[in-house]
Amino acid sequence: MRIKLNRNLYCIEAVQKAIEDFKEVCDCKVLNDSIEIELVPKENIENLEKEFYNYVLGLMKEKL
Amino acid sequence: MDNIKLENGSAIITLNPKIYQLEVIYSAAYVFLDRVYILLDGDPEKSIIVSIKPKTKEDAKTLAMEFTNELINYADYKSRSEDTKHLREILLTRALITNDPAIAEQEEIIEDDDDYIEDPEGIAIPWEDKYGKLDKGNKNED
Repeated sequence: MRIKLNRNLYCIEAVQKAIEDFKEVCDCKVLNDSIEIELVPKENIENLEKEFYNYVLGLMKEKL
Repeated sequence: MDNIKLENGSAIITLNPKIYQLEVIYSAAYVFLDRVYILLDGDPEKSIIVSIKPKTKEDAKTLAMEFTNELINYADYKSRSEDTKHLREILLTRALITNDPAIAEQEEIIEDDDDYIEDPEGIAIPWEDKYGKLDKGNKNED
């Protein structure tokens, strides 16, 4: 599955950290500059993409 | 409410960034992270779109309205925080000075000097200048 995060509202460092943290449950990579991310789940996880963008938002809190 | 729309179980809120600054939107979003999935989109200069999808069976519209309440809460907090920023800085500086004996001592000396220059009790003025010279009669009595 693919998700697209608005680069004006999400910070790329937080996305990269989230990718690192989600390594065990899915393979993710940033596809382009507009922060399009491909998530390939390793197991069946409900709402994986939603959990991912919530997690990114949570990481940004620590940064702000 | 025109700025809240329902779509596939999600509430879509359109916000004016001139009214609700981006920081305020982030702050309100963090409060709801455990209850809803939040996705931000839009243009930070024109309008910000917040998509809210409940994690449980809670009503999306009610959550969206709670979210807007939280926005007002944080907007007010931010505004007050900016208004009282200078005061807080003064209080913090004062507290730090109080705890630093070297600075406190230095400040005391400066304060003492100020009193001397100001002479609020008028004790620095010589007696003769203040009441005039003693007359001869008084001198003979001595």
